[in-house]
Amino acid sequence: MGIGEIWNLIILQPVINVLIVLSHYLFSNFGLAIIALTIVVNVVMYPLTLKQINAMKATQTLQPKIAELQKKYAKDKQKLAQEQMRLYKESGMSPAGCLVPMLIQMPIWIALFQSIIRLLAVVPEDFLGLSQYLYSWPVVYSMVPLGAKFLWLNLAEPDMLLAILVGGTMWLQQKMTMTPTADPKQQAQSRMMLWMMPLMFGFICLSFPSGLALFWVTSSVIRIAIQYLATGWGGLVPSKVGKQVIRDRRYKRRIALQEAPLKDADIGADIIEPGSQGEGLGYEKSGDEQQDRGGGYPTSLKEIRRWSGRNRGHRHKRR
Amino acid sequence: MWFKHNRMLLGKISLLLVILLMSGVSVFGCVRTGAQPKGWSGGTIANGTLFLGSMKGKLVAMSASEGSHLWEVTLETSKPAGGFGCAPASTAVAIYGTPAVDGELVYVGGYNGKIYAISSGSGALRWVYPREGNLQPIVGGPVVAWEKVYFGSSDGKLYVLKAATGDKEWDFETEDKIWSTPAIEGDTIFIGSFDNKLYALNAMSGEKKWEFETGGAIASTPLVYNNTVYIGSFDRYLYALNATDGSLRWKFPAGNWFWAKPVAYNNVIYAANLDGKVYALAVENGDKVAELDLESPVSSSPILVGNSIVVASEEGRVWAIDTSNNEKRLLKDMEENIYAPLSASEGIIYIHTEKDALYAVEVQTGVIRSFTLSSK
Repeated sequence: MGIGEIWNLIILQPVINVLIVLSHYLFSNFGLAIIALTIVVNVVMYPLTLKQINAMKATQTLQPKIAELQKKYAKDKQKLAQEQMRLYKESGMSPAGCLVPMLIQMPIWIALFQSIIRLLAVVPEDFLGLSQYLYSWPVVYSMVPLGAKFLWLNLAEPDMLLAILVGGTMWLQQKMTMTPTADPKQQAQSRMMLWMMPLMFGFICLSFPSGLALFWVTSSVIRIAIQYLATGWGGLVPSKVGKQVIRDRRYKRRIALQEAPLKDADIGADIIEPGSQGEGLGYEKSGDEQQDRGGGYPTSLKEIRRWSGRNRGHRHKRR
Repeated sequence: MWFKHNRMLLGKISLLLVILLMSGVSVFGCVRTGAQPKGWSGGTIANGTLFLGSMKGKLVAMSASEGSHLWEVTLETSKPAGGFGCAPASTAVAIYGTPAVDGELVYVGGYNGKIYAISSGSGALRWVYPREGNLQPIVGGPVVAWEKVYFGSSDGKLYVLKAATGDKEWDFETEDKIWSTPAIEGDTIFIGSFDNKLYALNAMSGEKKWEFETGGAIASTPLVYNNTVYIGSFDRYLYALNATDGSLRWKFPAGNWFWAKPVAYNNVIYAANLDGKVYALAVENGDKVAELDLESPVSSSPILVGNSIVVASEEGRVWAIDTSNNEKRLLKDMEENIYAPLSASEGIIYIHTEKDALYAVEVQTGVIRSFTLSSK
């Protein structure tokens, strides 16, 4: 038995027949059948999805310990790696756990795409081939080809609005799973992930039957719901770290604004001796380093004013 | 640090998964399953010329006896679509229906939703319908009678045009796609639809005479024989209906869909099925006379040559069934898939394969010749 036959037997054939039967019981509506199949798939994968969410959550809780390890083994990278491995072994985490649901869904996406093409009689050659995939249940034979109309959609054709919905729901889902970070590189990486995946999927949807996009939208909505139940709104609402990052940005912006005229006026005039600058230049360090040192810059606007005023006063005094 | 590295790793893996998904869908979806329409036009022979729609979107005219190329016409090209979809990579129009010839014109429908009337002698385009825009894809073939051209479209309508000019006379709307080729007997036209029904209409006015509902969609072409209409359905039954009033005479259950048009000879109906079998049934009551297992689905309509029924299975084997004893004989193994209906003239059958090759096989001797479809 070839790989194609195995694929047909254990993936494609069941998906096709389940879709037809679901369609039969759901008012001969293929759109409802796709939504029902998506719910079934997500219910089956619920334990895995929950595991994935918990793994992400655990990652966040481990961050302080990892920071400690980084501090402790700053000069011994090998030891650091070993200790990190030990840490997430002890906490029972596996990076692969995050990818398993996605890997499992991939064959279903492909099978769904093939099923839609065949069931909606998009191309005669594929529709003719469909006869060889049907189980010998009377309901299956009499149902095909399935109706392509669902709401405003022709499920056999791409749809712009649904493509936007795919991108939008995927963005929301990504945003919810995002962990705030103070590291600019990490921020850039997160931003790229946040936008790239939804844009790519949205783009794909413009070329494929909207039945497939309907599966993706439903799947994203379900995962948003699961994510909300497990962790709340996550990255959609600024967390403590997130708020800290925002404060960090605001603070830096404000200081930069205040510093700008001074710099113009003071070029070449300031002589700052090492050790004498005290807290005054601490803001030039990154947020991470500030946190690691346990100290940092003010956390409220009031303090910022007081702090920067003191700073300025110090400089004036020196001048 | 771990998380930072992990996030980067996850990002890269996610990107890889998306690329894999796209390639997977493209490979499994488009290439493997043939999601690109290619066509399966059969041939029509008139005055020694074979007319056939090639998979390169051309109507080709050839000498049926010598296989020499007379002319070819490229049907209008379709716009290529971008993106990762399975829109046609080439711009050729797929031709599924077998061309129809009447007098000096040959008619052919394209998957682009247009029907063309072309001079059978020179290949010059006489008219095209619709002149502006397109209908939904045309899968069934056209039929010419009463100086009219009849054809069904995927928009669920049967269109009737003036054969000489292409002007529309009337149309008849069904509730789903029409992929079936109509059949005309006297002043009645019979057409099957994906709405599960077979319709009998007045061929002149389009007035409905009767309709018969089966348990599944209808894609096959009806056969009219001795005032009885034989039609196969996706509900796996072959129905025999009174052609006058549409009442059921009998029905016969098979193992899969009926796609091919049945053949009648000597009061026996030969109906090929996608379960890989050809059923020989008595016309009076549908009793099974013989059952021939071809071990591969049959979607290509069989043809009567002399007193043999020639039938091709999808995997490419061509069989001759002797009607005197209903024994099958392997005529040729083409080793190429066959979906197109067979055509025949003077003891020779013409086979258009999935690889867009055309073969002529002598039924008596099994001698085979290969014809070149392209002029270049």
